[in-house]
Amino acid sequence: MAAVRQWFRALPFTSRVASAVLALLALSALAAPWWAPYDPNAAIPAGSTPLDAPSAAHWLGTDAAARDLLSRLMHGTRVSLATALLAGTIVLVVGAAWGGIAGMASDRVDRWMMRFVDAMLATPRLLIVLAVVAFTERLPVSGLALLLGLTAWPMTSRLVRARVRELRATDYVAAARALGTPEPQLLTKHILPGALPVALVGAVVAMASVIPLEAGLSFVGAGVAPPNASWGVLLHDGSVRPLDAWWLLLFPSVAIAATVMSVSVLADHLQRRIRTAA
Amino acid sequence: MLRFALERAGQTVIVALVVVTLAFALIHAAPGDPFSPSPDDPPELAVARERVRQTYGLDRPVVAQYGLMLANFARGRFGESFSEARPVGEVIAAVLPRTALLMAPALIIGVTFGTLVGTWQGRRAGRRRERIVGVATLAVLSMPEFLVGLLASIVFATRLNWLPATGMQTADLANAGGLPAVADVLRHLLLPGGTLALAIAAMVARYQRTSAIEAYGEEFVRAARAKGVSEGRVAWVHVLRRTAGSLCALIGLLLPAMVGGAALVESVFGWPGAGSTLLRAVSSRDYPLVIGLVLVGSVAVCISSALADAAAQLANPRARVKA
Repeated sequence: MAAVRQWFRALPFTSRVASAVLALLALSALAAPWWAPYDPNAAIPAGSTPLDAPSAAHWLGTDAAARDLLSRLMHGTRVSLATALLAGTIVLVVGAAWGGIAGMASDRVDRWMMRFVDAMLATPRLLIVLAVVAFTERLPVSGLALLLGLTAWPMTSRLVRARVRELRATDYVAAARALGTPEPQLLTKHILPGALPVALVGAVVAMASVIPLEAGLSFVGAGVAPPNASWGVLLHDGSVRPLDAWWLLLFPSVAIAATVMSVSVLADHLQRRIRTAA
Repeated sequence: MLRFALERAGQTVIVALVVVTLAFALIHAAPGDPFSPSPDDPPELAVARERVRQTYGLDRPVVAQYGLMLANFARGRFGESFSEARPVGEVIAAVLPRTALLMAPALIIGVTFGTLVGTWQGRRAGRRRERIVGVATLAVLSMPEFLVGLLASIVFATRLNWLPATGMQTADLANAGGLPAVADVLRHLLLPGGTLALAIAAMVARYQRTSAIEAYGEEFVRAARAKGVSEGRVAWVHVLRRTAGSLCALIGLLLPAMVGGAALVESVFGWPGAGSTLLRAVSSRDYPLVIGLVLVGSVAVCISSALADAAAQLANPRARVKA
């Protein structure tokens, strides 16, 4: 606990706010099954009507089907954050592996691997995701996260490759090689740890782009399927009656904007840390 | 330059091949046969399905199918749209110009505005007003484009009723022709175009700020100032020139990433362009139209971002690919 506090105090003010926001959201997402006051997908049995304004009984109001918005938002946060986290993990693993191998490989292999990365970067991600969505009957949330992660790693692999090339030329790597360390071990033991911070930043930046994508896909009905809640699904529900039921649109919007903003602030912070450390 | 052109042409071919292969894999991995007739099809849909089966060569061996698909796609034959009962090529030819009509002004205005703001920020980095602008751009960037569009449409169309909420033109005015019809399209363009321009401007401003800060720290700025060049000239001639290259490169990178947001914005405003058509095709399982739009869209984006990169090289001699 003391270590966490010390780490927290060392952060600049904006990063402190950002990590507090994310911690709060993550906590409410983790605790949703126990702490959410009502069932997110069922109408509240007694004493509530559809489209209740925020009140003591329903802090964030109720939606058109008389469901409690706070409960739905907590469960939706769970889905959206889990999607972003899974996609970010895929970006981290695939991006580090691809970039690491390309960085260690011969110039020729490296050129082809990077050519593939450039082609991926030049392809609009959403088009690929939509093509897959069109052909799958009902894409589960994990499938969506997988898809978003698999289309997001190229940028990270480029960063990792550049760093690996740098590290490969250092004296300690030359020393390890002179001692007879085999190439694969050279990569996993001596080089990748040094490239890890870059890969992490890449994954965090990717997460900041995955969250709006998931929301957009779910918003148009091509992502998370109702009645399950996600931020995009909630925004869609909120867009139907924006003037009289403002709370249905306001709270999910704030959740998305606050999350993406916090993730971007943290990514910036990490990037600065790396630059000053290098 | 020739080498660069060849390299990017090769890249476009790789992209097209990847997309076609993906489409091919999807057709075969989909549960059942997505093109097989179903008993409750209306007769004209059954005809369309049969024609698509022929275009894709679904009655032939798998290897021949792949070859036939490539050959047909290369000639722009994507079969017949299930939902619109006309060739996919025709649908694409109809919707792409509308998307261009939306994107071109949004890009021009967004990039110009973003560059102005970013350069201004670069000179005053760290000061109070500059930091407020920085927070504002970050806030815009943190909102998905479609959400900004949705909020704008609620405020300006639903609530204030100043501008039309959806579509590209009003039916009676479109037939009138002449100036009123043009003004009508412009009024429809304002909300979706403004939304996209705002998002683009925020992204550009954020990057331009960084490169402007760097440029302001360089010797040639000091030299220019020492010569007595005015601050305005330093900013808009010296610094802008120095940052033009990375700006173009940024646009080349942004284009593919922006397509998603733009498609959703089109859908929010019911703009009858390629994006909203694609989303509709996805939800109505109009497979030939989905494949056609995804392929044409990817290739179009690939070519435009290659053009942006070419501009980056022209603008910055140091980044030129050695021939």
